[in-house]
Amino acid sequence: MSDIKTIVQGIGRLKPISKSVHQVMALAQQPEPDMLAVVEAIARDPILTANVLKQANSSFYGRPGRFETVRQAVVFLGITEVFDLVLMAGCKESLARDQAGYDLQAGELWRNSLCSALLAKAAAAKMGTADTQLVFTAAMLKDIGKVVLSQYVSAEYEKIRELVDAGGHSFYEAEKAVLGIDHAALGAMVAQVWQFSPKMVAMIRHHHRPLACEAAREQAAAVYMGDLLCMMLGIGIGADGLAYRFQQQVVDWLGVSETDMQQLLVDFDTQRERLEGLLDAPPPSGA
Amino acid sequence: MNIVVGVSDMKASNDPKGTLITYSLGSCIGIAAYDPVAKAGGLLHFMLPESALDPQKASDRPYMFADTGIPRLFKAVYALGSEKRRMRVIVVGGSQVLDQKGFFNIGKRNEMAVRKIFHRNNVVIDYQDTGGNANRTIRLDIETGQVRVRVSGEGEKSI
Repeated sequence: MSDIKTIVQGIGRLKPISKSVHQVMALAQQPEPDMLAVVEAIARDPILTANVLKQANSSFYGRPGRFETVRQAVVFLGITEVFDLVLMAGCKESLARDQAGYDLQAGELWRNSLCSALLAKAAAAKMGTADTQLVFTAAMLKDIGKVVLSQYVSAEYEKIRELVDAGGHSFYEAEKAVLGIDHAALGAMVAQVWQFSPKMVAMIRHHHRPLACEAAREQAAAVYMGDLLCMMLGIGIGADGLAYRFQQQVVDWLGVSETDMQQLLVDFDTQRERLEGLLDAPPPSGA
Repeated sequence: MNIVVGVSDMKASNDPKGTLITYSLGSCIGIAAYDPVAKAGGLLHFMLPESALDPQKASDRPYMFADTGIPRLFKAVYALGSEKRRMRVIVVGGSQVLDQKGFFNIGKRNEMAVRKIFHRNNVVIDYQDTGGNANRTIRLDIETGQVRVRVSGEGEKSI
C-alpha cells in the first residue's frame, strides 16, 4: 500500500495551469472584471488564444467560424462565456487523458467535467444562485484529484469495490478508507498548489457533501447537483459509477423539486448535439 | 459495424453485419428487442419515465421518455418483419445514486415505468439487469441476437 505522502507527491507531476490562464481567472474573481484587461491577457498567449477561438467557433455557440479575435468573442458571447472558454482551454489537457483506475477511456473525464460544469451552471441559474462563474470553475475542476489518484485506485480497486458493495461506503469514502485519502481531498490540494482561491479549494474538497462547505454553501450545492445529474445521465462515469450519496437535505435546502431535476435533464439533453463540437473529443468507443 | 444509439434515441436494424450499441446508461434504461426468426432487432435508450413532464419535448424527441419511446421501439422492430410472440426482450440500466429515494430516484422510476407498460401490453422480459450503482453499456448483435452487457470496472458478459 502506498502512503499518503507518495500519493500527494503525484500532484507535482500534473501539468500546472498556465500563468495566462491564472491571470484571466484572477480577473474573473473581480466583481466587475476589466474587459480590456481580459482580452489583452488572453491575446498575450497565442496558444490560449487559439484554443479559446477554436472552442468559441464550435457549433455549441451557434456561430461557427465567426470569431477571428478574442475581442469579437467577448463582444458576442459575453465575458462570462469567455471565462468559461479560458478555463476549458487551461485544464483540458490534464483532464483529457485516460484514467485506468476509474476505467475511464481518454476523453471521458473531460466529457464528465465539462458536462457537469454546464449542468451545475444550469442548476445554479434555475435556483438564482449568485456567482455562477465560481460554480462552473469548481464543477470543472472537482475531479482533478482522480487524475492523481487513478493509479492507486487501480492497484487497490478490489478492496475499494468490496467496501462499496458491502454497503456503508460511497466510492470516495472507500478511497479514503483504503488509500488514506480520497479524490476530493486530493483535488483540493491540487487547487491549492495551482493557487486557486480558498473558496474554490473548499468547494472542490466538499463536492460530495456540499453543506460542509461553509465558505460557499450555495455554490457548492449547485456543483453537487451538476455532478449528480451528470452521473444519472451516465456521462463520462467509470468504475465508481453512481456510488455516491444522494443527500436529500441538499435538495431540500436548495428547494429543488423532482420536476426541476427532470427538467434540467431534459434541457441539457436537448443541447447535446451542439455539445459535441465543444467537447472536441471522440464519443466513447466502448472497450 | 457498430450502430450507435445515443441518449434519447432508438435504432432498429436487420443488417446481419450490424451491432446496435448504447453506451453508459447511468439512470437511463436500455431496452433491446430481438426476433430470432426475422433476425431483426431494436435498441432504445430512454432517459425519463413520463412524457407528461414536457409534452413539447416528447413530441420532438419521443425516445427521451419511456411511455413515448417503448411503443415506437416495438413498431420499428415489427416493421422489419418481427412478431411479438417471438420477441426476446432485455432491459438494462436504471442505476441509482446511493440513498436516492422516492420521486428523486429516477433510475427506479424508469424501471417501474417499463414494468407498467410491459404489464399492460403483455410483454415478458427475458433478461433484466437494473438498479444498483453500476454504469452499463449494452450491445445487440443483429445476426445472432447475442446481447452483451458491459459494467464499468467489471468487464463484459454475454447473456
